[in-house]
Amino acid sequence: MIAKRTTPDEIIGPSDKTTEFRSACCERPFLLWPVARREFYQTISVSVLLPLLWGIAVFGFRASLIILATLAAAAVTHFMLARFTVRGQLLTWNHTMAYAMISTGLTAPLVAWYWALAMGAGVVILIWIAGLPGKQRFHIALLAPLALTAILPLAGRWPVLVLDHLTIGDIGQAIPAQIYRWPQRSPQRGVAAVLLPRPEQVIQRTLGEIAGDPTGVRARIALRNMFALNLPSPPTLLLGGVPGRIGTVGIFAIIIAGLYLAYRHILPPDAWALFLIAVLAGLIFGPLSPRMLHHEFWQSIGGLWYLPPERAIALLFYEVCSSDFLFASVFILALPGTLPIEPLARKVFLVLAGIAAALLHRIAIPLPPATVALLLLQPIAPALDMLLHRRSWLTD
Amino acid sequence: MLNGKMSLRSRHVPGGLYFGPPAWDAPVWPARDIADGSPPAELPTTSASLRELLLRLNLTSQDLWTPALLDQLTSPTIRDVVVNLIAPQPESILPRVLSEFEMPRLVAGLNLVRRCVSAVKTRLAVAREEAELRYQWRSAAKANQFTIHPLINRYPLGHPSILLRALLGLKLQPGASPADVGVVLLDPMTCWILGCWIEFGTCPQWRPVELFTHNATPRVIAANIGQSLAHILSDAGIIYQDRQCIINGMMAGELVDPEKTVLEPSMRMISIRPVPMAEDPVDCIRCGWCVSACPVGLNPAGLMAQVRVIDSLPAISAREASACIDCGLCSYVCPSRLPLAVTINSLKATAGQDHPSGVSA
Repeated sequence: MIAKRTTPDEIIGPSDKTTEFRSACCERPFLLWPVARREFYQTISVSVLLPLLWGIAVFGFRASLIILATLAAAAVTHFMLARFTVRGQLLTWNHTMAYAMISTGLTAPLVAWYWALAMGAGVVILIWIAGLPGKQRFHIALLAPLALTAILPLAGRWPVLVLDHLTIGDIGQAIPAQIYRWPQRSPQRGVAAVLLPRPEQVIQRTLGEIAGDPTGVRARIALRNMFALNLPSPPTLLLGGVPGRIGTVGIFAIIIAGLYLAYRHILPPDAWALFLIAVLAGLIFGPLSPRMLHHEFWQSIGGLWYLPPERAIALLFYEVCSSDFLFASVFILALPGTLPIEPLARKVFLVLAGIAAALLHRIAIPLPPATVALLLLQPIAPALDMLLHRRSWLTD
Repeated sequence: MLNGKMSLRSRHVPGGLYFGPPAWDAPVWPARDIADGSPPAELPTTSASLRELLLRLNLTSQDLWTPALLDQLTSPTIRDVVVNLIAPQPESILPRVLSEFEMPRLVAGLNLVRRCVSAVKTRLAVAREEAELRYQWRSAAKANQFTIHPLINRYPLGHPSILLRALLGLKLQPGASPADVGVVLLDPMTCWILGCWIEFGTCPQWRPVELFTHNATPRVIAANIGQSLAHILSDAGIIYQDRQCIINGMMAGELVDPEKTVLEPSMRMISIRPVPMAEDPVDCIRCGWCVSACPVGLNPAGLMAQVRVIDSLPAISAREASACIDCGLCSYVCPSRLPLAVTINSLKATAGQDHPSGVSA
């Protein structure tokens, strides 16, 4: 038999029947797939690192400080819990780091460093309380810090570092941005540049303005101004030179990370594609106005119809690339436990989540909509598995 | 973790795991006389007489994967004879070795079965990647009117249920014989032994065995049935002390002690490898890899969770478990290292006891 490491049974606990299977675990197969659970989370952590580094390149030292504060707090809390509690010994280092990195990736760059510390520690404590690895029926450890950071005051007016030079502006010295060309209507200064509405918010505001009369002269002018003045150029957007969350601005980095995760079989490529299609469908056919049942809703859909195709596609491009849709469809979907495991249930879940994300996007909550939609719908994943269980083709 | 050079080149494709052909050197056929004797005076001509011959030759347990040929000869409505030349384990090279060195005997044995069961068509199921094997069979197929069917080989394709579904679109219910759907499924070893009997009037008391060792070229040796595995390994110059000895493949094989085990007719391969590092099982993280990998569409994680939640398994789940073909892919891909295959296998046994009406495979 294969030699086994001994783990104290009291750590597992008498109610956990994993111990019952331990004696049989070393039977066949004698070859094992080269991705164990620790490599699973490690791969996710490595892939999140790339968008975070991209975020540091865009937002400067402030972002690096927030990331370091979060990770340091998570690491210290992890070691403290593992050292002083029995339950803490079940925490997995790679799992902790993956959660902390995803949390910090969804954080705004102007969050104060001490809130970053609290978020890092909070993530680990929540994992310890409710979601030990393998028991995450609800990613509360990700959702709670996100909700917290959404209601916290920003620290933009009192920067932590003296020289807080950003690619998109110089917060500390309040020097007009040199590289960042958006918005072009007036010279913006550092903090203002970061605090300005994101492109998705600009689009939403404009569509809300024209909802009553989408084909009129006023709507045409508003749309023209939006494309000409208020939205960044596509290259600027792709390179991350826009306000946003630390981990979500690096579009190329997220795509590369997604390809890497798919290569490691951790991210199901069909899940990624289906979620994005559902999001796009939700954005197209969903409510273009919060007043869903009002006649303006149908008028705004008609307005979208009158848009030239290239402009409609451009709108979707801006909506997807400037929000957290890509980030969530790569990293949240890659987290084990987010999706149902039955193929049909997985498809239904992704469509539901995509539509929910589009709705949340329209409601304009201060939280990342796609991430929140996936996390909120996660508890129904086991139920979908039970409802949409497909019998084996050998037994039906 | 995969163990050095014993690892398989694998990749994920829609519908399952694909294992490419092993990039190993040319096989070696054991230079050994098969038997002393003379051809039999009379060959069987009906399925009943073939059945008697098989019983006399004790050929009912030659292969692990092909259901016993004996059980298939009772059906009166046989349309097809299918020869399964797809490796039953990802690393197996025996079908290729037999085809390369023993083609006449294989064809003779196959023709004997075909004539006895009065089959309309004879099909050769070959892995599409095995170009060499297809080339070896080309002329024989042309001369004997066999049909070669190249199939994309995902590892458990060698199992009858999967093979018949892929090849003929026939659904083989758990526990059923291929003859129930009008097919006789043969493995090359059975054909070879029948061919030897046609030539010498007796079947050999030895069998070719594949030997796989760490960091070495695999070999095919001739080993006497009933001989100790320790003796066989020593004769082959293989050190087996303080190593794992696994018979019949790394995926669905069995760990044995070579000192206490003798070679049986059903043992086709012996693998020796260093004892790997252990990885304890942990809780299921709901990654869904087992569901993606299962070739028969089971939910191994769900079945295991049911066992852990409730003591007695519902009949419908028991029937579900009975569809498991025991390929081991779910345990293979599980990042939590859960013993899924072993658990479902024990479920099948339990289901067979609780539901004697036929839910067990």
